[in-house]
Amino acid sequence: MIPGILPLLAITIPLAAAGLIIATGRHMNLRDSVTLGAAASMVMVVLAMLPEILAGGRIGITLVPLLPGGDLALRVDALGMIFGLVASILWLLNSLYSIGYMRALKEHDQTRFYFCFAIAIAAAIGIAFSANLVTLYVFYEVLTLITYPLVVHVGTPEAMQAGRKYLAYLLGGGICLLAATILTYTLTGTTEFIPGGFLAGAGAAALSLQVIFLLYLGGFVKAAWMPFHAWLPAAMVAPTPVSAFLHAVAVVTAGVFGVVRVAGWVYGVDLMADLGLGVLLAVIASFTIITASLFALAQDNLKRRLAYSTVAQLSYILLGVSMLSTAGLTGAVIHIPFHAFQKIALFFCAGAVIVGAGRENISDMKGIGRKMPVTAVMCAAAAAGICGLPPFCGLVSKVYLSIGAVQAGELALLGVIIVSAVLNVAYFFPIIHTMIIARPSDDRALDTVTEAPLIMLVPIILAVTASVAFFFFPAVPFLDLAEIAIADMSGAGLP
Amino acid sequence: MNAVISQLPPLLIVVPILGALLALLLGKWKRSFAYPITLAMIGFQFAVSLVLMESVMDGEVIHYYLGGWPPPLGIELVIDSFNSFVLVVILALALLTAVWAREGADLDIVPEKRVSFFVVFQLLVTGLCGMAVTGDLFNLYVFLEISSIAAYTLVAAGRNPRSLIAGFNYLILGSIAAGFIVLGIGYLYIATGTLNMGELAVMLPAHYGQATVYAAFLFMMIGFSIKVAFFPLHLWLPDAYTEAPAAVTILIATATSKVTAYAMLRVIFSVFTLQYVTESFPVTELVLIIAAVAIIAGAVLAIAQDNLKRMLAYSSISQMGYIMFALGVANQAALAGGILHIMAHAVMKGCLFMVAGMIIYRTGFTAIRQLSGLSRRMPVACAAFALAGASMIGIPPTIGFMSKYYLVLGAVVAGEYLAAAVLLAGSLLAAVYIWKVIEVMYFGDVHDEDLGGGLEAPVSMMVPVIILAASCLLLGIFVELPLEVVGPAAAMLLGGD
Amino acid sequence: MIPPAAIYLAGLLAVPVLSGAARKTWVAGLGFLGLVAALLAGTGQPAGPYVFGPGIELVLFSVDPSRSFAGAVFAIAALLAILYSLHRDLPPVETMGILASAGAAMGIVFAGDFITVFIFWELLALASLAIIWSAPGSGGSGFRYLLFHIFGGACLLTGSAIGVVASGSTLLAPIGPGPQYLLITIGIGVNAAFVPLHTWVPDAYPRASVAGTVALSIFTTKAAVFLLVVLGGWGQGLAYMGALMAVYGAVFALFQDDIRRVLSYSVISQVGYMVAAVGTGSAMGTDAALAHMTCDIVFKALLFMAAGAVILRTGISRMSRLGGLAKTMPLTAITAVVGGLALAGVPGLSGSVSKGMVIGAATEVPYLAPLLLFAAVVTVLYTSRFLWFVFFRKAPDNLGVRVEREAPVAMLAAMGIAAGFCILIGLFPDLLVSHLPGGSVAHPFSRTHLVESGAVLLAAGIVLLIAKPLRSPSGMVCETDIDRAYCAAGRAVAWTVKNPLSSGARGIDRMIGRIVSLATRVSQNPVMTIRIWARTLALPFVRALLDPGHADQFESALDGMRKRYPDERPGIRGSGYGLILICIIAFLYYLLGAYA
Repeated sequence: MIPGILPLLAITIPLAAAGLIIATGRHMNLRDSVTLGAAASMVMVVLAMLPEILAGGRIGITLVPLLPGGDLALRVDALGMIFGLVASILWLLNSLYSIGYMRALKEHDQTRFYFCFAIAIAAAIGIAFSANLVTLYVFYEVLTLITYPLVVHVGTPEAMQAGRKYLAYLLGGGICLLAATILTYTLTGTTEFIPGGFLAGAGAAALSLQVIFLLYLGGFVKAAWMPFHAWLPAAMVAPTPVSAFLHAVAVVTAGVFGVVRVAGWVYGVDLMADLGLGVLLAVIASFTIITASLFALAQDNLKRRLAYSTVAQLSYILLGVSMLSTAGLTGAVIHIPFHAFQKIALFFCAGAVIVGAGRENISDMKGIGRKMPVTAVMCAAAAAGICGLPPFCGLVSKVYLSIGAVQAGELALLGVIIVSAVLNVAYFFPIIHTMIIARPSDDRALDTVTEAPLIMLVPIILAVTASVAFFFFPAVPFLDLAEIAIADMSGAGLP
Repeated sequence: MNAVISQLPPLLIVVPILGALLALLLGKWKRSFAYPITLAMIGFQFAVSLVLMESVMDGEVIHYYLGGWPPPLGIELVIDSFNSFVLVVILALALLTAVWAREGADLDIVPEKRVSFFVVFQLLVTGLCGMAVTGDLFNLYVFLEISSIAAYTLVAAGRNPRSLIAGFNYLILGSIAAGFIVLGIGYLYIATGTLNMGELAVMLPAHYGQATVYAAFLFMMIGFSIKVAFFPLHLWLPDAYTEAPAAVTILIATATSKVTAYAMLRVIFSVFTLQYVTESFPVTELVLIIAAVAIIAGAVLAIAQDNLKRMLAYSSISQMGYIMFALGVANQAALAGGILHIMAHAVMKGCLFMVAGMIIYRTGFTAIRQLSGLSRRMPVACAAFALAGASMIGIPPTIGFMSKYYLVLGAVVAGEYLAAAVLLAGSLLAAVYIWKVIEVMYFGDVHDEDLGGGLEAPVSMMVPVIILAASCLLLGIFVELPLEVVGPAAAMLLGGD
Repeated sequence: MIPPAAIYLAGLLAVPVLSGAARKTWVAGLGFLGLVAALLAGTGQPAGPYVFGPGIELVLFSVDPSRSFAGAVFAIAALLAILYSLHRDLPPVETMGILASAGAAMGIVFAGDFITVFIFWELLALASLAIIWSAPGSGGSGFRYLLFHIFGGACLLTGSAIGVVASGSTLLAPIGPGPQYLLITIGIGVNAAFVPLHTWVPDAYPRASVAGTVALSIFTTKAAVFLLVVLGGWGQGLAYMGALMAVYGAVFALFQDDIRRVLSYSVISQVGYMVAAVGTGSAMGTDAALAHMTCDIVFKALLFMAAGAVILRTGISRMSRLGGLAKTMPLTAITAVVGGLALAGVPGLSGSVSKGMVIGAATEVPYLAPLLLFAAVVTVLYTSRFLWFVFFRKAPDNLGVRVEREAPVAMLAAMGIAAGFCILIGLFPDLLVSHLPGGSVAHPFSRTHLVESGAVLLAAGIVLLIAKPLRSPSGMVCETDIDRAYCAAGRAVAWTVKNPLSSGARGIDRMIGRIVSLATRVSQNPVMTIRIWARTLALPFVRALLDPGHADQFESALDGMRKRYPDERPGIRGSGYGLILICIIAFLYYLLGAYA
């Protein structure tokens, strides 16, 4: 078997699935089983690559020569593997879930929905495995466009408005990314991702490099850093599986992934430090963490609150990158999967509540746990996880981030971590209290409420179990992968 | 090179003209003959152009002296990588348009006019070929007029009275432009005493200082700017595109405008030279600025339109700005991008206009807001529109993205960061006006149910659309193929061959 | 051998599936197992470091005398709490909470490194939250409790991070000077109820269920004290903080009406003693702290149990409405008296032993002992108030239910055992002291100590005679503490978030939207827009200058334009040609400029 067939396979499987989905659109069960089958086989493929990556190897393949400085090429390394694993595994969970969800709510245009989903996941994998900036950019734009139909799936004027916002921000970001890519190419003559970065050799003026980095940041607006986050809460009008997809599986993950990529494989940690970009990133991230958490306090709509929580959590990752220290980067990298698993569970719960009780506002969910115990408990667990409480994996990244901040000598960041820890609890635990502890406003309030169907509960439970497992065995496989990735991007020069 | 190929260029023009006469005569006798002949002729031209491109790919140039008279007396036809590429592009588009027009023409051509319509159609195409292959300035002017007059008639040929006004509008401005061009050519003749492009290129440098040469250059610039509807000289274009018969709109938007752009580049870089436009008469800066304005203004105006064809027309103005942009930057990457964009824009705009035509053909809708929920009735057409639209926005890996990439690259290499930014902003605006349509098509809910479900246009209209839409994507992914021709062409224009 | 923490934490997983008697037996069994494990812990082998991830090694189970001692104490207390909680079917969450907090406390006790401590620290907070929230109407206080402890936990984590990076190892070690000292002190201080971080105690404890309060009162604060002991090397500042807590808590306890609030403040005060002892820094002080921790756990738990029994039977928690329960609940009364006297430090009971050791150790630090003695006096006052009003004074008529029954057996058993401990340790101090890691001794019956206690009691008696208001239950009640300030701050934040922040964001959004729509509308027909605007501006002048007829004509024309807008009629555009000419002229001008 030719090496490099696997990454190609990982992308072609969902694409082929997309075609099949269109073909089998008439027959619901057939279509959905296509989705599930594709998701499962994709997980297999990605897992098949895991051993070689863990052994420190890389898997690469060049598809077609595309542009000067960037063929359409794939290369799987530890960092990409992390994103790839998250995307593929969570896509499987998400497919299970969305089948339950979409059928329960009798959503329209389900074929289109699954079609876009499949292509979007292909794009996400493409981003994860891209070998150079051009490839990254290509898949990035594809991801932007193909998720649009998902965001506006409802088709209400509000949804269309949100969709426009979504496109405006993300396409604008894409433009910045393109500009940054081209500038990088003109400076260095390549856009190939090189461990430790390649811009340092360009001998360009510090200012221009800083400007280019700003462009990159603008490009990765998918990371929803403030003040360019508005598209994410707006996108909450989408059906819940889509929100889960945006927040955990692919989109925002792609954003932060891009930042890590550029920091480690284009600029290189040392150059980042020399240019003072770490400080810049730290400021942005801290501001985002605090402000977003405050916004989250103000939301009564559960999904919107979760959205703001995502904004804050993503900036945890940026914060870790900004530290440019071993532990900090480790924390950042492992927070990608850990946050993803917990956040997807939370969104699943929100969706389960919509299905089981038809309620979106936290204030209406009083005592809902009496009727839907599994959902409520899992929601509590996932929330505790995001707050970094034991026994959930959120705690691991929190620990690493704290140590990283110290290694970087940025004690101020510790303050950010403390404040945001308190704020996290402040906006998550009221939800738990209302759902599980609080008494319903009147006796008949819960009559219509029922537990969500099993096919929706299973993914929730799996995701939460995973986040517990990652707490006890963080090394398998994410922390190990992270270690390799950090070694890649830093060599030895880190505090 | 073997003798057959060297004899091909004149056939490219002579045969179709005879064919047109034949079509006219036979058409008088039996109406249904006209169309097949036209189709055959254009097909023939396309085949020839392919052969020619294949033979000049390796950088050699075919010279053909009409009647065996060498210049300066005779007229020379020249085939090189640049114009062979343009030939292939426009003829491919013309062919597809012709196929599309088989039924598309009925939309606004009354049956009686069908024969003359296709004859003129073919003359237009032939005139364009002539413009592309000729190596003689005055001859260029002649073919330009042939094609233009054909275009005026075609625009005015529509059923609705407005098309008459639009055509007249077009006629007036076209004539003004032609006047400027012929004046410029005259001045050049005064200065040098020859009309052959090759010789002019050799002789002009001696006269660069002269006011006559300046004047000539300027008049031709103005003339061509009007012809290619270079903002702000675009005023004939929106009405013409909007009101002309659908098939005609497609042809002008894809073939005519591209060939004119080709002629402009050819005159500027082959007759005059890069050194002239950058040093002794530095006009590129100005062109760049205007091009930037054109990109933005055209896009903004396009955003505001509610009539689909009109929106596409304004978008054409914006896109023409991209090609002029290449002229303004004038380096390898940018010119390659510009030439690539000639093809890219032809392909995607052709696809978009075809879809617009099909929509009118089936539903009679012209306003964007009427299109809501159309994707449920014309899925294929709407998908094609979405794909071409994505290419228009410049979403990778479509061809539109590739040309834009090279343009930006060129601008950055030339240090024109602001211009690059404008260009990127332009593609963002393009996203806005394209998305307005896609949003309505796909996510609006269906009005006037009585129209019913399956509205897909007939196959003869569908096939070209699908081909174009597919090529938007495929040409993008396998962009290497066109680049094999485009790269040398750009190098040649820059005088570095 | 198994770490005790594992027993509780693993065991609680089975709680949800069991129910009724089965669950009770299971939980009780866990209590005993835990005790056994804790007693055997001393003999166990310390578990090797468990590599958590790059750069982080966890020492989950490390053994030394003080750890196994504290472990045993906590295990006993846990057993008591569990026993007490068997009086009825608790909600499973609460039972799990009790077990989890026992486990977490055990984890902290046997933890060998900062990260492990942090993990169990957070777990303890969660467990306590579960206990608190299991009682109805405890939402707010539970929430505040969690906020406090998460803040504390975060401080602990960040502080230890600094320490870890500085020292290069995660193992528990005295905190060096610098920011980490401050952070870790705050972190521990929240759990140890340092003033002013103490407000969660009187806020949350009285609101938990009667069984829950006992568990709460045992684990959180004492675990923090033990961590102080293990780390060591604090310096005298800590001692004075302890004194402050002792006095502050005692004084506030004096002015409470709710019995469990009295005890809550008493917790703060007694923990103050331990903190002060640790602060002295001597081995003797450490021992004193441990000893007092042991005694306080027992008699404080006992008092909370008694209070719980009273509340359970009467449904009333305010001294001003209680009374005379000694007749109806004699056993409860007796045990409560034992506990109370122990708390008051009456010789012959456990309190006097440990408190004596503390004060003895405190003599090394200037002014410390007097402060503690003063606190001791006040302690006697509030204890006697508590006992008197609840049990011995004549019952007020408005005591709601007439209580005919003694507390349930489970409760009585727990209270009995606890009381037994108080007496045993009081009479035979060596039972406790001999196990102390520092090997120091106590002389509860030495003359000095007896005199000391006597003086304290006498002083208290005199004050009682003088200060009349102290003799009426609701004489001087002060239930406002600085938590008012915290709540106000919290509300302020909430308000800012809701009003300025969110609405501001929305406003910006709307503004952008308007700009965009305006731009689109204008670009629909720029020329016409300009003309309309110009005419609109001109309108007033036209009105002023022209005659009405023309003016109306003008205006109607303007309206016409507004209605037509944007008109897209094709036609020969005069303006268009003008534009072209302008361009051409400009171009020619450019020519001349270039040519000249």
